[in-house]
Amino acid sequence: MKLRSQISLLLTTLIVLSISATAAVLIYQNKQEISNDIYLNARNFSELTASRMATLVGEYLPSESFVLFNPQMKDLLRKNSDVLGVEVYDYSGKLLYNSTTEKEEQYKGPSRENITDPVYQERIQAQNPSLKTILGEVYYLEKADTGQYHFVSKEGIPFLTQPNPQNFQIANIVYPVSNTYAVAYNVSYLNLWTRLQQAAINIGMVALAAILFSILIGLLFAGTIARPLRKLTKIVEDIAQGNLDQRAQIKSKDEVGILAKAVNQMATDLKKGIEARVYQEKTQKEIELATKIQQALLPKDIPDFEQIDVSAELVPAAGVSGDVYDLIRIDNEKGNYLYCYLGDVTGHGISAGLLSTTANAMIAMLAPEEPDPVKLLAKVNVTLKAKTSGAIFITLALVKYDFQKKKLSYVNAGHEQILKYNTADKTVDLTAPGGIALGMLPEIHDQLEEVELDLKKGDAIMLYSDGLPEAWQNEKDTYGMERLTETFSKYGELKTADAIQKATFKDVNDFRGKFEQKDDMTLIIIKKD
Amino acid sequence: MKKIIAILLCLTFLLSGCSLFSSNGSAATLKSAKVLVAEPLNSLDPYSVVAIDRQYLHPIYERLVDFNDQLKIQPQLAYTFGKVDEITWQFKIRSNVKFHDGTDLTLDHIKQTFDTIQKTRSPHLVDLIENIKRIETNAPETVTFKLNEPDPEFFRKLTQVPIISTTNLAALAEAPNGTGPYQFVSKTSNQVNYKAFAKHWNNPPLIPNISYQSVFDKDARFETAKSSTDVVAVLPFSVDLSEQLADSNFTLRSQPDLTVSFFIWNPANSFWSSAQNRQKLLQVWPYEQMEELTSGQGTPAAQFVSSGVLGYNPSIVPQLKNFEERKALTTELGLNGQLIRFAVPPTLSLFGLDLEHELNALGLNAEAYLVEQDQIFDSYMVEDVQLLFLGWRSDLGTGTNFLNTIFKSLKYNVSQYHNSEVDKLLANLNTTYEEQARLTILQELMSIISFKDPYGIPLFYGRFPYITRNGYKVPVRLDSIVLVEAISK
Repeated sequence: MKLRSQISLLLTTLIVLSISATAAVLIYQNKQEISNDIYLNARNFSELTASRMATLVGEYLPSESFVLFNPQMKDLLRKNSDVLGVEVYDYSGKLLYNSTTEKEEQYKGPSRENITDPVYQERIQAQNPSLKTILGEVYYLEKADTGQYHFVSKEGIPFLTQPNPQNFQIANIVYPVSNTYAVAYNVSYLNLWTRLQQAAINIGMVALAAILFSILIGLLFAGTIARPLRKLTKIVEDIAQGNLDQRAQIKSKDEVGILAKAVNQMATDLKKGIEARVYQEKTQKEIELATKIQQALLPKDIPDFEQIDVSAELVPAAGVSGDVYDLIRIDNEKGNYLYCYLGDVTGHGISAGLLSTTANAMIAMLAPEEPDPVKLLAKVNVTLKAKTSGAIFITLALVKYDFQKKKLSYVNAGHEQILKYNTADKTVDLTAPGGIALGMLPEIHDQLEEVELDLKKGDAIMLYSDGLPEAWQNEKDTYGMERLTETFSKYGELKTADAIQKATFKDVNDFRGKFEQKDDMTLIIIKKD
Repeated sequence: MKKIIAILLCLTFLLSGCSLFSSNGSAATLKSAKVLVAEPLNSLDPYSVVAIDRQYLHPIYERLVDFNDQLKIQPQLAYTFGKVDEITWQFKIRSNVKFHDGTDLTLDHIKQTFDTIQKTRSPHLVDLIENIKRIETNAPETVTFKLNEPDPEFFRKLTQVPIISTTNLAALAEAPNGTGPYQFVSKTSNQVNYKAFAKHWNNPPLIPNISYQSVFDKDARFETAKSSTDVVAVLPFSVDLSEQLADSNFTLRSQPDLTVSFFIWNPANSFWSSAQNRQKLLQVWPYEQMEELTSGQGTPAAQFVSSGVLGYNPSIVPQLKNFEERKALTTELGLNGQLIRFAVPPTLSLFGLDLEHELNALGLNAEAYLVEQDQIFDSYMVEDVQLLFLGWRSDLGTGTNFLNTIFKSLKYNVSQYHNSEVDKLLANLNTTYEEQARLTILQELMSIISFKDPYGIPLFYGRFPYITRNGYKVPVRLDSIVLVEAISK
């Protein structure tokens, strides 16, 4: 059901219920009032006419002067339409006159018998008038000097708690007269029902008019609410369809206006959000592509070398890595050697990845012609410095293994200190720090130094990026160099470089647990065969 | 705000408590009340012939029906009553009535009461009940009186019959035993004491103790009242002392008594035998002088019953004219020099002489003829005595007795006054039971005999002055009986 119809229905239902309740209350009150009116009228009528009626009966009927009697009696009876008829009794309870059966002529049948109902007889013989309700209750009335009536017992003793005559529906009133007669008035509530019916019709007509009016108002009011809501609904539907430029043109200051304003804002935010998402997705795709490209540039397989066993792994933090490593085997006129390096660009992400890729490409390009690792790095630095902003640089540790001399040396360009495992005593040495990162200064040749390491059989060295010692377990605990050293010491005796690499990574990952990897982690193990 | 509400609540409780306390206080202080009267109690005999005794004994005994303060019949020991047929009256008796000695009232007590009156022939009661043929008590709660003749006002006569519990009147004269709201406690030579009867069928009266004290001297009576704290009424009160009331705690009240004084005609004189001439005399009669002529004791009357009596016709009023108007009218109506001799008892000689003077001043030939009251009817034999002085007390609160007595009795109708309309109305009256209809007939009768065809000349009706203590409601009936059970503050 449409909103407008729902609102109309709700309003109409509420109004109908209210009007119905009011009408019911009015009709009930009306009934009480009319009922009370009938009681008062009947009581007052009996008080005013009983004596006269008794006199007429006493004066005319014994002499059968009905012709004189009847018009006067009818005249009296006409004065109260709630009184159906009267009966006049003598003190012994003998019926002397019945207005219902003796409308046009006097009773001439056999002598009427006295009434036999003892309660009715008591009422006829009482001093005080009495009334009987349709439920059969009998109440005696006494008029005080003040003119007020109060209810008394048969013996004239006032009740402590006076009944409420508004609750009575009277069947008859018996009014004793002069200890000689009693006049019984039979009361009809036909008037009550007629008047109530009329009142109910009147109230019903008013209620109906009110209902129709309320329906009209309800429809109008509903329209006032529903129209803007419909507009809003259309706008929202358009927005849902993707038309994010739609705006509701509702300027009212009520809740609907506030809602319209909110919808408009929502559309604006949604549009921005979608645009941002699209951009993000696009960027993510580019990042993924860049990551793939970068991954492709890393050595896919590490060949088996004679004399040394090499294992390397790079685990980027997110997308494009700032770490870089490579293994370049040179066997030419310059010599027979292996360059193995690990570099770490400041930050990570695309910009770091681009720099690391550039450095990777340059080293790969210059390595075959430059057997001097210091010169190699110095040349790479010149280019990197020229092509990058001053805020981005790369730390790098370059290891050279000369297969002819069977010697290993390294150059540290500001990178983490290389660890050396001594198989003899299973200790780990921390090589000296040194050098300067690439890309910081235009010329760094003099800041770099090639250092030779004596690698015996079973010894190993570890190149790593700071992502390993700086792996977080929680907000405050990191893996640390001490632990890394211990791990290398523990696993350095493993047979292969790959085993050492994997064991080390496992240890680091176990430490890290589910905590987010904040930085790229790269690990190269070179074990002397 | 909360403080204001708390204060208002406290005030409300305080005021309610005060009003409760004060209302309880006023009931508590009304422990006793005293009525001062002129004459002492003569006898505790419930059928005493002395009128003042009936005043004293009224709170002790009850009747089947009684008068209220306006002389309207109200149920008492009978809670309802009615006429079954022309000669049968039925009374339904209350079921929860006890005598002061604790015995229950039975129907037999009622029958025995009337039997006792019949046997003892109590003078002031026997006439009232002579029309009773028999009394039946064979239906529950019901006493049925069968009469010899119809009597539409039979129940009024029963207001004079106290219901007793024993046929031994001597015993009652020593120890009264009634069903009334007060029971006898003690008596001295000038005081009678009562206390409220706790088991009265209509609940005990408010004032626990009542007493009557007699003080003959009017001044002493008033002084006694002023110096007391429990005297609530003084009956009668002498209007001579009215000026002293301002300094007292009492208020003067007066009401008509049931006695009307009047002349009745002896129309043997040919001039006054004409109703027309009798009417003319009424037009010049010095009504406005009546109060002065009676030294302030009488109020001019234009009819034969006083206000409050059934039959009193408010449309019949004295024609008050000043002396010059009356004198001129006397001449105009041809009454100048007409002999009018009226008989008065010696006790009213002053009144008679003053009236004689008044009438002569108008131009009439008036003469007061002094004769003892018991010989007054013999004065009719003296041809020139046209008017006889009489008085009538409507003890039963109705003019019916007056009319029935006057016109059915040779003694009171010595003039053989006859009016066919009066006869017809009287016959009608004696078969009419509805009170309003009876009133209409009585008023018409009063109009005829007072004015249209004057039976006599109403002179004055007495007033009964008394005083009551300020702040007290003391109902005094028109027959001067104090309804002590209804005294309230």
